[in-house]
Amino acid sequence: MTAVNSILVYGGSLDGWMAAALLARSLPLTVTVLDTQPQESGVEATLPAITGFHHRLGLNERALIDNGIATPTLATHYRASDSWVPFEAPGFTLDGLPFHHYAVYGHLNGRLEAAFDAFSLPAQAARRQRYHPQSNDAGSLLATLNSGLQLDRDRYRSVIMALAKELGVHRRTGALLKVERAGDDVESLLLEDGERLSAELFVDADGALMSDAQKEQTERLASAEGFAVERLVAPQTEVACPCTRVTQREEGWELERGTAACVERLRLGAEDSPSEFGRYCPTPWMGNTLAVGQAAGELEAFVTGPLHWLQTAVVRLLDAFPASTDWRATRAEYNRRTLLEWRDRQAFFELHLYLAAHSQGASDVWRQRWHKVDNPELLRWLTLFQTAGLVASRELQALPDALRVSLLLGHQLWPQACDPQVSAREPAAVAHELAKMRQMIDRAATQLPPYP
Amino acid sequence: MNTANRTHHWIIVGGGTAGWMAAAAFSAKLDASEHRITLIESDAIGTVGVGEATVPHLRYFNQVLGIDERDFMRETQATYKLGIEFVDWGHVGDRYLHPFGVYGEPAHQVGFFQSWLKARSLGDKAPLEAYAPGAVMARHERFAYPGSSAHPFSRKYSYAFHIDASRYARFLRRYAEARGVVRIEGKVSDVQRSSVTGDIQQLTLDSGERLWGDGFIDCSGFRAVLHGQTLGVGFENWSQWLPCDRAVAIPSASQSAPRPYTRAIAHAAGWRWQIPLQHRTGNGVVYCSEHMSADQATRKLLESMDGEPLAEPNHLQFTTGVRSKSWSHNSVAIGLSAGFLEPLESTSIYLIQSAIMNFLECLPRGEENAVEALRNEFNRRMALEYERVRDFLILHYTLTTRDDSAFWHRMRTLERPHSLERKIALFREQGQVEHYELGMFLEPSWLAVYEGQGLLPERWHPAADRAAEGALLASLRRFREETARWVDTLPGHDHCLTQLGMEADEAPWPPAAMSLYGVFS
Ligand SMILES: Cc1cc2nc3c(=O)[nH]c(=O)nc-3n(C[C@H](O)[C@H](O)[C@H](O)COP(=O)(O)OP(=O)(O)OC[C@H]3O[C@@H](n4cnc5c(N)ncnc54)[C@H](O)[C@@H]3O)c2cc1C
Repeated sequence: MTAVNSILVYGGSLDGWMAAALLARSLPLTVTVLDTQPQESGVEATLPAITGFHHRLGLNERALIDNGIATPTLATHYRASDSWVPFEAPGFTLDGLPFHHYAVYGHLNGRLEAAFDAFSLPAQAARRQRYHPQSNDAGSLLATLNSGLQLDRDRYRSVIMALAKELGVHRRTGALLKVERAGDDVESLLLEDGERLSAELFVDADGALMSDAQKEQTERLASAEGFAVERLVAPQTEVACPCTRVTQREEGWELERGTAACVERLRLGAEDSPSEFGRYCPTPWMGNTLAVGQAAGELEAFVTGPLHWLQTAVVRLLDAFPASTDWRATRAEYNRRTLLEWRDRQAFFELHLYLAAHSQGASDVWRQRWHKVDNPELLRWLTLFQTAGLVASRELQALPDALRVSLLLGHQLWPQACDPQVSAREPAAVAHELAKMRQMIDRAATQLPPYP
Repeated sequence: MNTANRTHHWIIVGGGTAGWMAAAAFSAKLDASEHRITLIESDAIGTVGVGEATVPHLRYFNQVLGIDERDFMRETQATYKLGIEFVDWGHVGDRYLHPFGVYGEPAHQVGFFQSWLKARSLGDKAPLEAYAPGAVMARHERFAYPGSSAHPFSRKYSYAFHIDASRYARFLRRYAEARGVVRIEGKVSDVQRSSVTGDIQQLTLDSGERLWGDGFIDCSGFRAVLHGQTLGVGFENWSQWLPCDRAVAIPSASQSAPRPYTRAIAHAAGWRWQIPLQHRTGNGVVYCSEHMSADQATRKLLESMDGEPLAEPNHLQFTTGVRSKSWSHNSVAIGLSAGFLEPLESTSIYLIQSAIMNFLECLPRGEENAVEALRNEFNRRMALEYERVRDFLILHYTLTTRDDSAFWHRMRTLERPHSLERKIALFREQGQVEHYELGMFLEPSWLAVYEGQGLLPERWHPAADRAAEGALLASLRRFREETARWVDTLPGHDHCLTQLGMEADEAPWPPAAMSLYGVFS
C-alpha cells in the first residue's frame, strides 16, 4: 500500500490547469502540471454549477465578469423554434405539482396563450437582453435568475493558471518523449530533456497517457456517427447576448457563444470521415492514470461546453480521493459514476436528434438519424412524458430533467395528457393562474436593467 | 383502466393500515366528481394488527392530508421516535443508535465521518452517535421539535412516532368516510376478469353482493386476494438473504416512561422489538423457523417483557420478498400484498406511503399506451424502493461478527447480493458510502450501521489531514460537549407527551419532508 502524495497533471490546457487548481486547493498533496502549452482560443460555455467551482477555488467571479473574461448566460436560444431554455424549470410548483402539468393542461385546453418560456424570468430576461445577478433571497423572483458563464478561454486559462500557481501547483515545461509503463500503470514520463517525471496518480488532460487497453475500450456513440465539429472564432462585433444560440441547419447545428471580446461558432456538421466527436472511454481511470475532460470523452451538449465535464470529473475524484494506491473499489466507483454521467450526456445529445427530427419541415437526414438512435431508457422517458406528461424519476441527473422538459415544450412537443389532479380543475381557473404568473414574470423582466 | 369521461370507480380490498391509508389519500387527492372510492374489509379475517414503529415520512403523509399532528398523536396513543437502538447485532454486548438525523459538521469539503475517522486514529474513540443531536436526545430521553430553537443542532434531526396502528386505521377511516369513501363489510369470495384484457371487472362478496370497478387496489395483506390469488403475479423470494419467516407479538403494560426510540435486540435466531406507546408497549420476536420453534420464541418473548402481557400471543408467518410487479392489469398491490420486508427498520408503512404517493403521480390517464408507460414507471419506482431497503436490511445481518449460533453463522457467511457487496467493498476501502439519491436510506443511515456494527475503513479522505491534529481533536470534543449541554436544556420526552392534551401549549409542529433526516438537515 503506497500513500498518494503526488499528482501529475499532463497537459497545460484549460482542462489541465483547472484540474490542477481544484486538486491543489482541496488536498494537501504535491500537484505538478506538465505544461504542453497548447494554443487555445474561443469561448467556453458552462452551467450554473461554475459558480460553485469558483467558490470552491476561492475565485472572484464578479471580477471575471467585470473584466470581460466571463459573460453571464441566462438561457440557450433555440432559433428554429424561437424558444429560450433556462437552466431551471419555468413556473412555480402549485399545490405540490410540478408547473409543467399546468402548462400542459392549459395547452390541451387551448388556453395557454403563451410559450412555455413565458413562465421563466431568466428566459424572458435573456430574450430582452436584460440581466441581473441571481438573488440569494429564495422568496424573490430574482432568485430564479440562475446563470452559467461564457468564458473567454484564453484569458480564463491565464487566470486559472495564475491561481493554480498561487495554490502551490508546480509547473514543468518540456516535451514528452515516452510514457514508461508497468502493466496498467504509468511508471514515469520520460521527457526529451532526459528527465523522468513520476507520481502516484497521473491525471491525463490531454489523452497522450491513454494506455493501449484504454484505447481499445474506447467507444464511439453510434448516434454521433457522421458528425464532426468545426470551430470558428471571430472578434465580437455586437453587444454580447446573455445566451447561447443554437441554430438548426439542414444537416447539423450551429452553436454560437460569445463574450465581450470574441464569438465562437461551432458547426456540428455532417462529415464522412471519422471524427473525435462522440468518442468516450468507459474506463477513464485505469491503473494509476485517470483521463479527464476531453481526453475521457467528447460530445457537445448544447447548453454547456466540455469544461463543465472536466469539473464534474475532478469533483467526483475529490469526493473520494484515495489516500493510498490500494484504490480498487474507489476507482471502480469513479468509473461507474462517470459512465452514468456519460449516458446522461448521450441521452441529451440524442434528445436533440429527436427535436430535430420532429421539427417542422425536418429533412429525411434528421429523421433517419433519430431512427437510428438505440436508447431504450431515453425512449421510455420520452414515451412517458409524451403520452402522460409525467417525468420519470431518475437519480444523479447530469443534465437536469428540467432542461429536457423545457426543450420539448419549447419545441411545441406537448404531452397528450397531464396529471389528473390538475385536469380535475376548472380550465378557466387554471388559465387565470397561468395568466397571472405570466404577467408577473413579464413585469419583472421589463424592470431588469439592460445587459451589459 | 378505462379513463373515459365518467366516474371512475376504485375498489380497495382490505381495511388494514394499507387500505385505510390508500382510501384517505385518494379521497383527499382525487376529485369526487370523477372518482368514486369503495373499501371492502372483512371483520372475519381481520388485520395483521402489528406494525407500530414509523419513520419521519409519515409526518409528510399526514401533512399532505391536512391532519392535525396533535390530534393524530392523541388518537393513536403516539409517542415520539428519534431513531432505533440496535442491541447485540455486531457482537453480543454492543449497542448503537440509528437516529433520524445527521452527524457533526462537514469540514474541508468532505463529510464529517472523514474527520471522525481521522480523530479516531489519533485516539478519540467517542462513537459516531455522540455527534448526532437526535441520538443524544434519544439516549437522554428528551424531545423538542426540530427547528424549535435557533441553535444549529435543532436543524440536525427529525422525528417519527410509535403508534397504535389499528387506531391509526380507525382515525383514517373517519377521515376517508367523511370525504365520501364507502366502506363495505364482507369477504371477497370471487373475482371476475375480462376474457379479452384479463383486467379485473367484478368482485363477488360472500353475501352474494357484486361490485363493478374500474381500478382495484389490493390491500388484502399476505392473502393478496387480487395480485396473488387472482392475477397470479410472481413473487420474488428474498429469503436466501433474509431468512426470518415468523414472528410472535404480545403487547404489555408499560413499566416506565416510554423511550423516544424503538429497540431491536438481536437473539440467537433473529431479533425482538420493543415499541413504547403512551398506554402500552409493543413487543415481538422475529425469528427464523429453521433455527427456533414457536414455543421457544414465545418463551423468549415472555421472559424478556418487563410488564404484564395484555393479550394472547399473536403468531405471524411471512416470506420475505416482493411481487415482481406492484401494478398488474388494472390492479395495484399496496402493503403486505405487494411484498414483505422484516420490520427491522420500520419500513413497511413507509413503503405503503411511497406506493400511494407514486401511484397518485402515475394515476392512469390518456390512451392505452400512456397507461402502459405509467404502469411501467410505477413498477420501476417500487422495485427500486424495495431493493434498496432490502440491501440495507441485509447489511445489519451480514456485518455481524457473531458466531454463537447456527443462525448467526449462516448470516455472517451468506453470499451478499452483488449490489450490496459493491457498497461494502467501497466503504471498507476508505469510508465512502455509495452515492445514490432515491430510496429512503441515504448516507447517514449507512454510516450508522457500518460504524455501529464495527466495520471501519483503515484510512480516510486525505482532505481530513488538512486540519491540524490538535485543532481537529478539540473541535470534535467541543461538538460533543456542546451537544450534550444543549440536549440537557430540552424537556423530557415524557413531559412532552403529557403536554399533548393541553391546549395552552399548542406550539405548531414543524413542517415535514420526504426525508429520514429532516426538513432542515
Ligand atoms: C411481525 C410484524 C411486525 C411489523 N412491524 C412493523 C413496524 O414496526 N412498522 C411498520 O411500518 N410496519 C410493520 N409491519 C408491517 C405492517 O404491519 C403492515 O405493513 C401493515 O399492517 C399493513 O398491512 P396491510 O394493510 O397490508 O395488511 P393487513 O393488516 O393484513 O390487512 C389486510 C386487510 O385485508 C382484508 N382482507 C383480506 N382478505 C380479504 C378478503 N378476501 N375479502 C375482504 N377483505 C379481505 C382484511 O380483513 C384486512 O382488512 C410489521 C409486520 C409484521 C408481520
